[in-house]
Amino acid sequence: MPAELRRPKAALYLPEALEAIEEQMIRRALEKSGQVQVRAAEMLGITKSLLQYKLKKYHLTT
Amino acid sequence: MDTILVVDDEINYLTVMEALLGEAGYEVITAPSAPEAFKLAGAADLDLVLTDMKMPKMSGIELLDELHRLYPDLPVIVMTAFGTVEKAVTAMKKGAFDYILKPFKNEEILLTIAKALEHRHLILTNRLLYQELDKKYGFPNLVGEAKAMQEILALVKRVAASKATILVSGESGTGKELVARALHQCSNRAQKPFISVNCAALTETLLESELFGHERGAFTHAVAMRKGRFELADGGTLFMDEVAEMSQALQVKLLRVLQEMEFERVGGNRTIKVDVRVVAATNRELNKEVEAGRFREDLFYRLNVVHLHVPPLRQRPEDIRLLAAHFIKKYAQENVRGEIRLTSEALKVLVQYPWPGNVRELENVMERAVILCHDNLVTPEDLPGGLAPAAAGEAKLDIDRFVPLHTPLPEALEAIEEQMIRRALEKSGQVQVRAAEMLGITKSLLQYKLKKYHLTT
Repeated sequence: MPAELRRPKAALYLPEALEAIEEQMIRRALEKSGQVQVRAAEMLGITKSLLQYKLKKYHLTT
Repeated sequence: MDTILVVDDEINYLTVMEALLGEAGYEVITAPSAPEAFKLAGAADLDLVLTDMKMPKMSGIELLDELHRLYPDLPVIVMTAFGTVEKAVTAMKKGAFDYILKPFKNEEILLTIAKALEHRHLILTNRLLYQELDKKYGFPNLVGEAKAMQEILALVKRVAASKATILVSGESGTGKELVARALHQCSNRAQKPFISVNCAALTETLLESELFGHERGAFTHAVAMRKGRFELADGGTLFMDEVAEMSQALQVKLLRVLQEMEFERVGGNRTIKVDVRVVAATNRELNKEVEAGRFREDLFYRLNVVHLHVPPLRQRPEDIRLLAAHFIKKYAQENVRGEIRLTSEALKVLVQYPWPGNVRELENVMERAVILCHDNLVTPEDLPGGLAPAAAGEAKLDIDRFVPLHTPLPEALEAIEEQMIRRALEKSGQVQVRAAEMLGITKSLLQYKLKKYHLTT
């Protein structure tokens, strides 16, 4: 478990923590796939449309 | 004080020389034979040897040869009887500094000795100078455009010439020794030695003999007379780092030296006078140490004639770019790399980091980056991971470390969610209301998730 999440004082709540991790994973997948959304979605095990929804949510659209 | 070893098999002669040279202000050691002299030369910190030529066992020439081999800088003056000038010539060829014919007048020998010692001091000073040059001392390393740094540099130039004791304070790694070196460099003592001693690195007894030296036999293992840092720094500057760590007893002794500029070696009773400029440094707040009774107030005022405070690096972030460039240049040269540049992304990382280890830490980081970087470009990847912004609330997680690539997103999130919930339950002693609070979710949502992950007991 990431050390950052373990700190009791860090007031890092469950929803925020999960969102942060989700965002990081999406960023990484896009990077590794050379910004090709279909491949990034594949890597993340989600549909392309779900990925596109999340890209909007995290303001990751270029 | 210069130490002279006189070697002669005529004991009467030794007594006469001891009196004569002692009166002239030298420290005199005598040896009745060459082997004895040889032993003493290894045991004492000698400045000059005066030896007779004709002695049983081992001649003056042989002694000269041996001394020259082991201590090439130690000047030797040979004394030879009238009528044996050839021997004197041989001695000169073998590297004697000078010769003197017996019998001689007092002024004659004193003049020759003075000449030899002057020569020796020149050589030693020269060597020290080069050593210092090698260390790339002084201003070139005191980099800073920040106002606080400029003020310090101006103050250094203003007070360097005076003999006033200076207290340099600042966190560890801010460059207190560099400030001391700059002070030395700007003073009229620049040609004389700059000696430094770390008061925290040694035990009380060791520090005392390190500072003041000791006589032969002053304590067990004191097999040789040794000059202390104060004596070595005579005419120059003594930098005393971590002065707050000194014991109360030594503080008293230091106070006396600062006031009188005289002291005795450990185990000795002869008073030695020196002319030393002291620059003391500490990473503590000395006035607080005084208030707490750990540091003598009188010594504090003695040291604190001029106070220079070197600000921590985080208080002058404008200098980080300058310093980083300085160190990159330094280590690029040292590692024979071409011109290396710092990317703006890397600079951003450097500027936001609080640098608890100050300039020294920055220097280490840049040295590492120069070695690691590709294409002569320092990028954030060449910096240690710990420098990146810490995850405070907005988590910037090192995702590569915790979630392998190709892990499906839902699974990864569920695994982390489950772990966080387990953790919260543990912390709250299985009290669901408190666990929910810690997680920032409602109790009912927690209960739903407990079921989902089969965490209900």
